Amino acid sequence: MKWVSKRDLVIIAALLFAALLLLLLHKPKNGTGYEILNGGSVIRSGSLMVEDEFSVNNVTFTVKHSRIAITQAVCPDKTCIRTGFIGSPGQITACLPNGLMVRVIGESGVDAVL
Amino acid sequence: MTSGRKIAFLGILLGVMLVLSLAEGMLPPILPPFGRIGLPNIIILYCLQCVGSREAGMMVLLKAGFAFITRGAVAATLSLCGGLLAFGCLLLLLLLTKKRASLVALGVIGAVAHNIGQLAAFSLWANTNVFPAYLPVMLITGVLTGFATGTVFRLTLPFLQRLGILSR
Repeated sequence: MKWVSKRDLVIIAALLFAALLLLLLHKPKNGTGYEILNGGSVIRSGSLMVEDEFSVNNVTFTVKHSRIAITQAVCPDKTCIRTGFIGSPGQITACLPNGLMVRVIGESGVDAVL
Repeated sequence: MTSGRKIAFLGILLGVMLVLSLAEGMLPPILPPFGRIGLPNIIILYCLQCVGSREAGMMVLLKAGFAFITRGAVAATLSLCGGLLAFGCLLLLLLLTKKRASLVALGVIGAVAHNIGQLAAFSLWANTNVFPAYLPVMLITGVLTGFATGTVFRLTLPFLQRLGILSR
């Protein structure tokens, strides 16, 4: 049994090519606002232009330089904090253990396709 | 293999998978957030390749159950959606290649399908289309981590086969 066959390389190349193509198609824009969701419903929203810091359910959010991040949370994995600041529409950061999610809103980041 | 032996063996596999899952969570964060190497998936690949597809499917469900206990309902849903899509794609791949897909191909396809399944689940949960922003990065991490797990699987399989557990 060979380690990597030609067919494997074709699969890998095709996937990487698809990723590259999507990267080129996707032009990130600046978001205008944010929404904080708890289990699918919006519990707070605001503008990214206003610097702010607030807490919801033991999770601290920071809005700075048109971007938002979760900067403090009571949870074991801290994935949300590692995500860092986000600022383009469609980007999200979430604190799964607390069921909280932030999404950036604004114009869609994808150029019209089809 | 007698049914008692088989149950015991599957139990050991499950234990190894859960330990890998926990150990992976303790690794320093080298991947993008929510990206994981997928070490436990090696066990699922092993089940699929050497034990049977039913047993592999069971492992997928049990892994999601474990995620529910340790990381909550959302993580469990993500694990389940990723796991089931990966499982489906791997079954299809084995069917199409008449069980002759290379181990690295299994790893890569499994990891990429897993990531896509998770993005789909995340999109539904968050009620936001997260594909434009995250599909490229998840495709690339899927290829890299799948290549890594497929290679580890490829390297360890001869040792597992030499033990001859399955033939007794």
